Amino acid sequence: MPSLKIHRQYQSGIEKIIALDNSVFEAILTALRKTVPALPLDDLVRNVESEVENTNHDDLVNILESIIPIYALKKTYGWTVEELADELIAAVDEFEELSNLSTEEKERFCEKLNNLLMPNSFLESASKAKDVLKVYLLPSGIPADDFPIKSKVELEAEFKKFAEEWRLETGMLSLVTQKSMHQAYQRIIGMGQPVIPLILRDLEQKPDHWFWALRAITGDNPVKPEQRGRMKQMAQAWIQWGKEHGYEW
Amino acid sequence: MSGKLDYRKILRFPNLELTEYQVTSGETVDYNCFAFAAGEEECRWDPVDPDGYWPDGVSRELTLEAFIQAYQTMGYEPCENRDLEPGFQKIAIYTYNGQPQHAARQEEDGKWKSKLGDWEDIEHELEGLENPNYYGVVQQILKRATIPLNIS
Repeated sequence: MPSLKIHRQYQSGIEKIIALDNSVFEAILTALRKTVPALPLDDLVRNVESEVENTNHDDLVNILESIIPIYALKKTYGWTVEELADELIAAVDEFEELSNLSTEEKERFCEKLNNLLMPNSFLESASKAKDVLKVYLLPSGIPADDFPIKSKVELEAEFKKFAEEWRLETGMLSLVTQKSMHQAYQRIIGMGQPVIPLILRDLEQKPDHWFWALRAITGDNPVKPEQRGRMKQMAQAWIQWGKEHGYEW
Repeated sequence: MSGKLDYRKILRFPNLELTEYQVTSGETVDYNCFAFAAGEEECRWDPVDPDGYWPDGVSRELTLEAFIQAYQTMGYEPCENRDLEPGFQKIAIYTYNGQPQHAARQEEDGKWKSKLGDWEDIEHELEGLENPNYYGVVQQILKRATIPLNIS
């Protein structure tokens, strides 16, 4: 079983979940259960706000951003609810930025985790979860109807296969826009967030045209204008970005 | 470095084997053919990639006009023939469906040299890289003086 490490971006969301009153957290989960599938985050937040009184908008965004990936983790690694709960609790325990949490606060997190992962909850609903996954893990424009759920080993093998196919069939092309339209490259983009560490590892070994894919998956771009076109510098900018966002490879 | 391309690469450019060519470098992604034609081997010129280098003030579009303007920033101007003219450097732009796909530069001995995507640089005849699938045909020749004109 892969060991889970929490990305720094979820730190404040987890802290807010812990700080929330249990009844408010339950109300949020109840509201989520009533939402329609495949809503963007803004709409999810609006729906919850209409059901739960006195919630701070920014906090709610933060909380929902931290809740959704928890389910994605379960799907990605094929964990049972118990395994996921164990991993999350262990990860919170080891998370340096959360080291100041008291035992009581950690227990509060476990209680909320139980609520979050209980059968028939919003995140356990297969049809809705699949659509939520679309919203969070896939870039727009990529068909996600048969989004595969793969183990880490399968992901690595698939990435390697698609990358080799893409390199062989587009090596003669000079424009990245054309290279990135190749089916194998699009399949790599479609693998979503879990492929990011594999891409960063590949970039670290040898700069290649992964910047388009990284932009599409993350919606971010750490490349400075003066670095444009300079492969080694762009690779370094993304490797640094990966480290700052808690990725390990 | 010299030699021939791997057979898998030759399959992409069937005209190469019908003409004279030789490999002149190893593979690298550090630069592409458009940068190489401009004499740049540390970055990639690409108007439509947001992370590609493109000269300031030139339209970021995949058109022959934009490429001519880009090379004009380096002193090149359109010309009519691909023959060697002492005192001038030349660039050939290949287009497919009117869109630039490749560029080659002329060496002092009149031979043409270019970089094949992420593959090697090769010395070749212009016709050797013409094909209907990738680079298309040579659409435009540009030239610039290598010897400053002495106006007194």
